[in-house]
Amino acid sequence: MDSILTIENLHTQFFLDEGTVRAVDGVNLQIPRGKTLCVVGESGCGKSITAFSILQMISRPGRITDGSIVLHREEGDIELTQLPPDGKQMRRIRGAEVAMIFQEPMTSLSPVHTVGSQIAEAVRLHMRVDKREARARAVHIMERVGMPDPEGRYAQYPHEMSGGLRQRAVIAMALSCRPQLLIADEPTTALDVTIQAQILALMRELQAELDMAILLITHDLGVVAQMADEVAVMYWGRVVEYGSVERIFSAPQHPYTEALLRSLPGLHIERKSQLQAIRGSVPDPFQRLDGCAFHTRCDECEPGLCDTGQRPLLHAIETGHLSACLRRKERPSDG
Amino acid sequence: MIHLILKRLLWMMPTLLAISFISFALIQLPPGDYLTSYITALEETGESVAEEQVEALRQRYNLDEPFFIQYGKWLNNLLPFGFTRQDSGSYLWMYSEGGVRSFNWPGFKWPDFGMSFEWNRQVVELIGERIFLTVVISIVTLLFTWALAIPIGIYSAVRQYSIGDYAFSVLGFIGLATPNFLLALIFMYIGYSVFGVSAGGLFSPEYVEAEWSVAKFADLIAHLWIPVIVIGTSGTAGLIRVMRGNLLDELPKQYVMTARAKGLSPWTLLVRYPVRVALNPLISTIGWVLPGIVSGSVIVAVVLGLPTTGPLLLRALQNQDMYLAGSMVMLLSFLTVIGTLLSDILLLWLDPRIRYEGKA
Repeated sequence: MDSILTIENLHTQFFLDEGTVRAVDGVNLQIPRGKTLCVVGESGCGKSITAFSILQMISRPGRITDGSIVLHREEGDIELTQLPPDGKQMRRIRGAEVAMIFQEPMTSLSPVHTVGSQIAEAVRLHMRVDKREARARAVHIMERVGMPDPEGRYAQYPHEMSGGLRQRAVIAMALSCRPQLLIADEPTTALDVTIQAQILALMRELQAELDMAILLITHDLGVVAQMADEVAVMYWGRVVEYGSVERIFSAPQHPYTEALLRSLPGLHIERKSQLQAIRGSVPDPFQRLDGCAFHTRCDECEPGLCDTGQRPLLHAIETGHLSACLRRKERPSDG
Repeated sequence: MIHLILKRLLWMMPTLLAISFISFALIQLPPGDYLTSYITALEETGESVAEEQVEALRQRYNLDEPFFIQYGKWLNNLLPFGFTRQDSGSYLWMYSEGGVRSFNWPGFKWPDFGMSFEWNRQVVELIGERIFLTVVISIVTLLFTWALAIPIGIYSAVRQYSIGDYAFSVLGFIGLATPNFLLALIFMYIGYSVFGVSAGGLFSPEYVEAEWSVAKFADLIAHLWIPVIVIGTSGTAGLIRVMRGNLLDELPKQYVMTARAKGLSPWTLLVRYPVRVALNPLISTIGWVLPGIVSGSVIVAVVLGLPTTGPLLLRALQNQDMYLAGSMVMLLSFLTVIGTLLSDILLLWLDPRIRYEGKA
């Protein structure tokens, strides 16, 4: 597989007074070039921290303690965790090669700067252009992301825009330097459903145009179904299942994925039937668990197998479909 | 924005009027009128007062008229536009030699705050000769406070809970807790014993009455640092806390993350985004400096013997020199109102969100 980014054995930990939180605890991921990888999981499973780790934007008391993140560029590979977090090299990658957009469009733009100037700033940072050219490019990209009257909007402040428009502005800023990889951390969670659909459509359109990879973090399986080429399911700081979107939805190979899918409302379920919640809750983050981290909530848990030893690694169920469930072994065919 | 400012200006009028009324009431408050106390004071020193002179003063200050008429005339005297008092004592009518009465049209004139009985001089003169140095001290103190507090506040926020942050916090709280006058005494001692600067005042004795010159200016600079540090310390300590708190509120916000993800360098990022937003609440306190210019940390000025308006106000209050005291109280309140307006305009200019609300 041709990937843009390879994460190996990533550990990101937060050293608090109460103890150490292993927010990311051995993540392995490959982000395919030009495609969309969705990372799903409950709140607190380490999805966002993984994303922030890629850009080295983990603030104290957190730190990447182990593992590697390799960005595959035309000029050659570069190991991001070895770079100083706010050094020149890392800053050149941020925004130019790897851009990121955030969950809250209401707060992700500075309230005291015009929207246009914030976009033009990104252009000026990474491209050798003068102010006028930067402005022209900003207006152009604002038009491209579907902001009506981009010339007029350029001089507006965030509070003069709706949430949907702001998120378009944020996307414009992220894409202004034509990045190879866009990290989107729940980009539509705070938006209305209709606006959500528009924003997702826009992202796909621009992805095709710029041939860029998207790492989409979400807890919304509906968004996954719409957007994903590949899906990584995370639980308690680790990827527990990885596969193509078709495989994940049709033949999940981890009890946690199955449980997530069962908790999803569909149009065709009977009216009186109840949605199934996953029993129990995510374990205390300070805790250390033996064996599979999901065993405390798993219906298929096999005492003696699932609750002892090291955390299980991903193993191939078939080509391109990996699971960390100790009870699911490689199968000859779909079952 | 212009519309908003005009509206605010219009709203200021009733406020100012109310303030002037209260100030006048204050002037009238002591038992008896001030002429009585003036005459008593004169007689105590052994001087006798001629009956005609008393009558003239009574006329001059309209003392026999009802409260509201007196207030009206006093207010008229204060304003730069109004009726001028004729020798006959009338404000509204002019009498020519033939006894022909004609209307005395209002016009521009010098404001008249009345006389200070204690100094036997015009109130305007008294305040005027002290206001320049008071303004100098206030502005230099303000600059000192900001120049020190903002960088330290930023440092304390960015390096929260570091040794430096704790050190500045301790120093800051000591600064807040130390009474100004004590600090003044300590600095006077240090200034005298270490630097040989004559304690107190803003000038060496030989320059006090001298004309302005380069040497006098240098002498002023040499003396200025003591009052500036003494007056500025508690303000600096307070401002450090405010700046630190404001910035700590802004730092974790998403727009800071967005800017960082763009690839900005840490320094540019800090100054251009969170600091810029965190400064706004500070701007709103700029207006409070104006009244400080007049009241000018009274106790410190007395201890250090500064030729500023603060001690003048204190003495006027102690001696029931009511025209002087009332005028100064009124000036203080006026400056508070004007200062608030100024900082509002500044904020309006700096913070687009407020501008937007104004429009809506």
